Amino acid sequence: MKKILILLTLVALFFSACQKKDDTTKSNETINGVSITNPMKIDKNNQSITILAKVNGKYLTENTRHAVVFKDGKFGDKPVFIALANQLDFYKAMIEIGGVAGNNMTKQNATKTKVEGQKVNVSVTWNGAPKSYDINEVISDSNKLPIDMRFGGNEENSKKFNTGCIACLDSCAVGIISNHTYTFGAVEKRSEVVFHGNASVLPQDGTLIAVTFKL
Amino acid sequence: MNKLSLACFYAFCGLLLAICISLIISMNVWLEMRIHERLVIGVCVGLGILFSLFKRKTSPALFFVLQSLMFLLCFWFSKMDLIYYIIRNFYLSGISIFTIKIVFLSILTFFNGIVFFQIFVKKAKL
Repeated sequence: MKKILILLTLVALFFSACQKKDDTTKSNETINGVSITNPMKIDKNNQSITILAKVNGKYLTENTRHAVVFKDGKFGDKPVFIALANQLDFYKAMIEIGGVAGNNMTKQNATKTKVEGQKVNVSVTWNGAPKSYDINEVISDSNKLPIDMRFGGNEENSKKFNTGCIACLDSCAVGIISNHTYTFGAVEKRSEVVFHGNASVLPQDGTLIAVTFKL
Repeated sequence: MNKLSLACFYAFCGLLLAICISLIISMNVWLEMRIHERLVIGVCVGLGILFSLFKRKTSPALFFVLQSLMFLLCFWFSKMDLIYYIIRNFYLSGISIFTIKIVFLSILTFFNGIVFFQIFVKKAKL
């Protein structure tokens, strides 16, 4: 009994000590103008949005259809990059910088329709990175096809389902931005493609990164 | 063995079962994208605690079977590190994978020691 209580106390202390350390080391970090206190930067002149995110080490080896998802969304634990900015704020920011949404995806047509909308260039950088990497360099497609991100829109579905999805890797009726290259179901149902983060380029799990979306 | 110790033991067995289930789920992308590890862990640990209410002593066989199954799945699927990500997804997102690895392996070693002691040392005394 005593042994177990001592063990549980030690575990609790160890976890709480480590958690404090992790938060302290990251709270002051600023990358490309975004930080924990200010996780989204809108640049109207440059027509770009930068958001703060964390690398999710799980999906550097596992397959996923989620590129960027808000941490508090239903799928907040499923993307390669866990965003610290809300998906609905991101949608508003996309409209603010002049983005034209496709809004052509529905649940009914999803498996046969490719997402439309204005093209969006997605790039990623972090403190200590030699350059800003294009999304095609940091997320690998097993078919070697380019990731072609489009501003799908889907504001209503995003509110309704609250998945937190900002960028999906196949055409999506919920994600704000998604990949025109594949229709919905390519990853999960038809196994046409395998996506995961590029471990040889990306920093280790938990590293804060800045993801820039440019029209 | 008192009830708290039994609850801790079976809760840990529940965690091992949850890891095994999550490892199997990870083989199917559709399921993996829909089932959250925190839910699997919560249910299995809860069941473990509930199960402990009906037991009077620990079950070394159950512990060793679950532990062996977990390691076998990890080796077969080549997903050793996935264990720590599964545990982290149980509301431990602020903690580094390294910390989770150290703590989990320490607890696993501790329970192995306890079970080993119960089986072999007590029998030797008899």
